[in-house]
Amino acid sequence: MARLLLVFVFLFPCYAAASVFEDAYSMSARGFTREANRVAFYAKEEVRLDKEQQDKELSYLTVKLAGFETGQVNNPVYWFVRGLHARNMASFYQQSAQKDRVAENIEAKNKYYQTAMELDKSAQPHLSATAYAVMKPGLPDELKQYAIETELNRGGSGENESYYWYLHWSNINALSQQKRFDEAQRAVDRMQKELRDKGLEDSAYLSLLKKAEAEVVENKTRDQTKNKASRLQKHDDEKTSGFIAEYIFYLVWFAMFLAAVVVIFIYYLYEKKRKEK
Amino acid sequence: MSSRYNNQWIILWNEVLRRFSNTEFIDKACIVWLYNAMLLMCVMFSAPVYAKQPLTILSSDNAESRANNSFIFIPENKKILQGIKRDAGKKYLKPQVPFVVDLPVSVKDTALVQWHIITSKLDYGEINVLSDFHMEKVKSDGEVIWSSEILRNDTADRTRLVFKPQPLAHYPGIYKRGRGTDGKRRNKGGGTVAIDFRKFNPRISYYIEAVVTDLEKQALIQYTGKIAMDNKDMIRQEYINHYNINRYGRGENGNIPVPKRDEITKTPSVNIHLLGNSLSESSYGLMIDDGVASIAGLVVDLYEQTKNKYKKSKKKFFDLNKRELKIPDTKLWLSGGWRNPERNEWFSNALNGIHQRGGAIDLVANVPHSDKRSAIIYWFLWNALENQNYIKAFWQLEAHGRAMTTKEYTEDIEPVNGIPDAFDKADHIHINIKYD
Repeated sequence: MARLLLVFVFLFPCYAAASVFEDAYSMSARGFTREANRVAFYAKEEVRLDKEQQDKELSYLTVKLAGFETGQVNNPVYWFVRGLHARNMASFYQQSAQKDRVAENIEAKNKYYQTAMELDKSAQPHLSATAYAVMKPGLPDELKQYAIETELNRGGSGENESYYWYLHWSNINALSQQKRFDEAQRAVDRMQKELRDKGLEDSAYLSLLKKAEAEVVENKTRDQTKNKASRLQKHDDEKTSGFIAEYIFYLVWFAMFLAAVVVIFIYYLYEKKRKEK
Repeated sequence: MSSRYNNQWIILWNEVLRRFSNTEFIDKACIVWLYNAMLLMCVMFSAPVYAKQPLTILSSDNAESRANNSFIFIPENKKILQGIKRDAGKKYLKPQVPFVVDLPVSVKDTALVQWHIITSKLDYGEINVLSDFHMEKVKSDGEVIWSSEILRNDTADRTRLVFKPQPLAHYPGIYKRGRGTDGKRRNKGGGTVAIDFRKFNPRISYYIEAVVTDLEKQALIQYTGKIAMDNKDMIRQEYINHYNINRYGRGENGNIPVPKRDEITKTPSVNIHLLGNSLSESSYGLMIDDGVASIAGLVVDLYEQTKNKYKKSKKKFFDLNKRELKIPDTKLWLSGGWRNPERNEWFSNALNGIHQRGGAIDLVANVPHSDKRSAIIYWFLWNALENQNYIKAFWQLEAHGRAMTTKEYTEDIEPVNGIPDAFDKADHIHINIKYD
């Protein structure tokens, strides 16, 4: 216990009482603040512990966080912290190149983040835009796009205005990559409207809108061309396979005809031989 | 004008009522005064008002500020360093100089003088009148007006108004990022009450008026003047407001010195290969350039030259798994350079962030952030910076306001794509000059 305390003192200086977690993610983790702070500290600060100490810290947090599950099961922030912790675990195993453990924890991380996002649709307290920005890397495409869009809806988490407009572009890009072109076009319209509403229609950000729009058109055209090519290919394949079937059909008939001729000929020979006898 | 004269009427009637209620007997002085008052009323009804004439104003001990009738508030008993650039000599700001406003002409003994100081409610901060006469404060629609009594020749120095502004408090008195999770102002965050982060601090100003009533000529002469912060002093005031301010959460208090006026200059144009914003994030049209312009130019040239070198020599850029990466053919985007403190407080937790010193820029890959192309551009630029030795600067990748940790430069787990995670997660690269 004393060593664990020492680990904590090393890892988590006392000034962090002002909540590292809140500072980093713009939301509070009521009910498990200390643990959330330690998870956040491991995730975002330079960790100066040796491997053994890191192992102890992470194991301690695994047990503590699991202990909160019953009381926090509907809390999106709790599941966000669980995801963050799983990512920390993956990072730890990466140091010793334990690929299976890394993959296992990354999978768990994605699952926890998905739970957090699901709960966030209804339950309080809501996740911050920063939380969504933290969650999006490495998620499956659809979930990633959802994270981007939700971050956008919550005003983005960047240090300047450019970030917000790039977030718009990211959202449009993610939608068009998934071939959700109608939604992508609506996202383009939304970006255009927001630029206009904020009096930025003549600003440098207009170039981002144009690029985003061009990408949607390009992806859509490429997809349509690909579909057309694939339809033609399918048609050719069908045509070829139809020809082969027809060929086989006639071949069978011809073979049967030949067989019949042979049978009749043999019968004829047989009858002729019998009459000669 | 009418509101000011209405106000004068009110003061006049207040004075009549006060004298009658406080005096048991109507003495000679009172009769003289009543006579004057009635005369004044007649003048106000019928007398011509001469065209406005300028007052003589001394607003600051700084010659340039004084020339513009500009000023800064300097809180009392607070030592604030001045001189923001690396090689600037640092000195403490001198105490606040009182504003001295003089009538440009001498007035006759029979003339009456009344002073008014008007400021907008938005800029409202108390004032401390140092003249011998008292000034009464009245709040009206959108304005706060301090008015003196009607001063006769028995008031010493009635032709000179001396007052000190009281600093407009930075609200709340703690540094807390203003922009909340929904993009709206956080509770008790984001600086001065009247701040508009897109623009700047309020332009605090005092409109001063002296009305001289010449009873002999039966004429009113109006003298006016305006003391208003100019853009440079507005910027300096932002730094003063944030000096030694407490940081919400962990971290140091505010310690960025206040720029001298000559350290604030016009915003220079950027390198032609650089897209996006200007080197100043503010709307002042001014900035502090402690090396950002030069750094921006050097970095962008390095990026473009390295890209061209790869293209011409058919040199290849590989990922961690030795697979070739295609370098996107796009320019860099400047998302931020010098940031005024109020804007910094809106966007950032970094109370003493170097952007406010004019020593840092943020560059963005001009592709969607979550796209692999973005990671490739940051990694490519990073390698170019690491493999040169003439740009004397410090650089780091950042995402949503935080720097990447060392481990994220080696890990490839989120996502597994052959590029270290730091580059996948980054939303900009921050580059700053080195400070001791």
